[in-house]
Amino acid sequence: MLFNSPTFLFAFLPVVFALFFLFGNFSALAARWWLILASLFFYAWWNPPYVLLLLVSAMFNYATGQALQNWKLSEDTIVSKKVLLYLGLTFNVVLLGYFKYFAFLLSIVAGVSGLRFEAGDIVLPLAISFYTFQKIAYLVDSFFGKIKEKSFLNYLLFVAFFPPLIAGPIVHYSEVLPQFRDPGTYRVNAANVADGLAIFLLGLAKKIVLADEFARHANAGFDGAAAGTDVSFIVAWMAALAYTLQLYFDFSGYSDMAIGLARMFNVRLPRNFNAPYQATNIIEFWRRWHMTLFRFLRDYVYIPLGGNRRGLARRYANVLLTMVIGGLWHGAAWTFVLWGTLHGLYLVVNHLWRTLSGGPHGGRLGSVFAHVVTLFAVIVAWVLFRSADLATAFRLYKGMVGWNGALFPEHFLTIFPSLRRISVGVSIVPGLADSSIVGTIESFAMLGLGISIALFTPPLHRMSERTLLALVELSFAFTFQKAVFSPHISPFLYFQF
Amino acid sequence: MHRLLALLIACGASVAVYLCVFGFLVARPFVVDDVGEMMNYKLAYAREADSPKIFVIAGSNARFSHSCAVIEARLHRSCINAGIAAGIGMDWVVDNFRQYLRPGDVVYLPLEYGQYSVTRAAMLTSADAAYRFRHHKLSLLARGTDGLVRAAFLFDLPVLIHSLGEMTLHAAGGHRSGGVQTLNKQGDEVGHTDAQAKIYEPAELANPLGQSPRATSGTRGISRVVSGKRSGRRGRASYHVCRPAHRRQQRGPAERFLCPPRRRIRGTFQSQPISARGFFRYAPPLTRARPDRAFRNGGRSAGPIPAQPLAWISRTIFT
Repeated sequence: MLFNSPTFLFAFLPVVFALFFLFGNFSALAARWWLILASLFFYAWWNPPYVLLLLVSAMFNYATGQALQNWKLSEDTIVSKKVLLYLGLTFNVVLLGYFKYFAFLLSIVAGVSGLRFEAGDIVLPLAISFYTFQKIAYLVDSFFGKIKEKSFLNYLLFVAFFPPLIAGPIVHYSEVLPQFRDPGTYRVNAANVADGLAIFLLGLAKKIVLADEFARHANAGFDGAAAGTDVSFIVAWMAALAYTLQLYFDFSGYSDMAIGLARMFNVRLPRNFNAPYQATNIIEFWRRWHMTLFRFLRDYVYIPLGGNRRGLARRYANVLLTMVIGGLWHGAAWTFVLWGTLHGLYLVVNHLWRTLSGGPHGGRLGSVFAHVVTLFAVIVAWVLFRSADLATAFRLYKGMVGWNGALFPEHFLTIFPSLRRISVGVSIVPGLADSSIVGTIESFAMLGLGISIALFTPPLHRMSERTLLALVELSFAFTFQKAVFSPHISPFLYFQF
Repeated sequence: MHRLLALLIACGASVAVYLCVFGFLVARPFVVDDVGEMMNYKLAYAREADSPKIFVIAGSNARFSHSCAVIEARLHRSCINAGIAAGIGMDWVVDNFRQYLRPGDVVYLPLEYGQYSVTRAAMLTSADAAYRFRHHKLSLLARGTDGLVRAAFLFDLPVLIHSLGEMTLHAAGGHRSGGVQTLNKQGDEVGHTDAQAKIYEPAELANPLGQSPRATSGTRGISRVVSGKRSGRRGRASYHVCRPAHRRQQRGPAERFLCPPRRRIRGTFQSQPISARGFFRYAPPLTRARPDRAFRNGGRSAGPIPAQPLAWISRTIFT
């Protein structure tokens, strides 16, 4: 079920919300059961049989976690406990690997060996990447004694709680479950409902008012490139910029919605975005973008690999490897591997620069320059992330460097003749707002608006209550218009991961 | 609780501001207001033209592909080219022109395929709805509450940006290349060349042909004119459909169309690249037969046409 679908907005959410607090008045246990059942229903809406996979995986991880938590540790048993942990991790990785990477691996083996392999039709279960990481974190935390939980019900609630279930934030057990032990969670808190609803509405606005609009511009360029069209400079940059904004508003919108929904149920989830496009270097970018994924990669991949404790060369290798894994987590394709590698290299260069230069220099001008360079690097990398294959990405890159020239609709140039110096007029520019004058202006204005929001506004969690209300007032009517009257409900980009 | 209340007030205020902005403040002089201007222009000619006259009612197919000036010259009858654009609700076009229909008038409907299969939702959100919500809100009541609400919530953020862009260009003296100024007295688009049309050819060819005519909002809108029921004028209608002349559209439902012997008129239209041609004649009520039984097909009696004549027409004639 999609957060932006009328079914969710006008049926599922009101019913689940009302009955949760109704049951909560009598029994916290009943309210928890209700929330679990509703969450499983929410998940099953997409593909009912895969609820079984979720439940089987939950039962296995719960049993393993219990064994790890109750292990009587001594010198003799530490190895066995580690073996149990590795067994649990292997189960999760194999499950994820089968559904997400099996076909990709077979294609590589087939490519290398020249033999033909068929993976069959493997449907990627919704949210498997997210809940697998959460379960891995649960097992590791259980191993280190950070979790003491006996109730399967509580564990199931942690796994299935619907706001962050599909696309994060990737939460830790210790962040969520203690909140469900608080009796106050089961009483309606008007302030939390108001805050949650405001955050939810603004997240929804990000998704359906902004992200879906940028999708139109991004798809025009990327689909054209995928179809083999030589994309011109303006269309290529418009597509790359539009996708940069689409992804941000789509994913941060989803995260805001999840955070807002959880808040309505008196549960606070960790932040997932902190104005990432305002970062002035790539290290900072990764501390602001998909923060819970980066936290997971740092705590459960980078540090166990040795982190920065084994010399400079090993540190950079660990950074690179961690980011390649991060890229692969997003999808089983070379484009994602390259995207992760590219960001790994960015981080290595950034760390090297810091080591060599001793920190940021250049005052305000230097900061602006650093900001521009960071943004440029991120946009260039998103092209790989979005492209269906490497050929499409390279076609886009060719357009972005001006290989195919810069084209504008002829009648647009008659109004803005100064643009003739840098472009050529043609009757129709494929992928550019149907080549109409006002359409082209609208495309640029939308991009300008999106860039302004991404670069100059603070994230929602840093806004005052009054500012949030003002934003709701600005956006609600458009959100309502899209949610109720828009004929198209688009899925979130991160659903595919 | 006051925070929740404040949030609800903010939501309500947002909707109120939205309705005021799109209902009273911003406009789209080039794309939407243009529709109203053209409609008024064409209605003015329909008002002054003498009966018996010919109405060419369709979308841009009528406006760009038909010449009422030529028809007038050949047939010595007034001809009104009522076509504006295919994205305009046919019910609105028909309702506007019906008031000038008189017994003996000929209504010719060279509709685009999409017009036959248009859904009610699509018709309620067509370009005229935006125009009417801005300039003639009460006229939307004819479409019911559903029509009014859908028209009120037609506008999204890009539309706002579009509107501001158009208003700025308009204030700076800009004008659209096509519009009332490029129409002749009869409402034909003049100065449109084959070279200009060719620009749209790839898009046109990419469009799949519409489904065969059936009972949809589009057909119901047309059927009201055929039956004359809504206006209270009982009329006798005859309907004829020609084989398509457009070379690129020799497939789909068009292949099943008949070509009635209306040589004079057909000769007039022969050079026109249109997809399908339909005619019906508006006639005084019969005295002995039930008016809805007076439907004719190429001179042959075709039985009753009650409330859904065009759907019936499509079933009876096109197959």
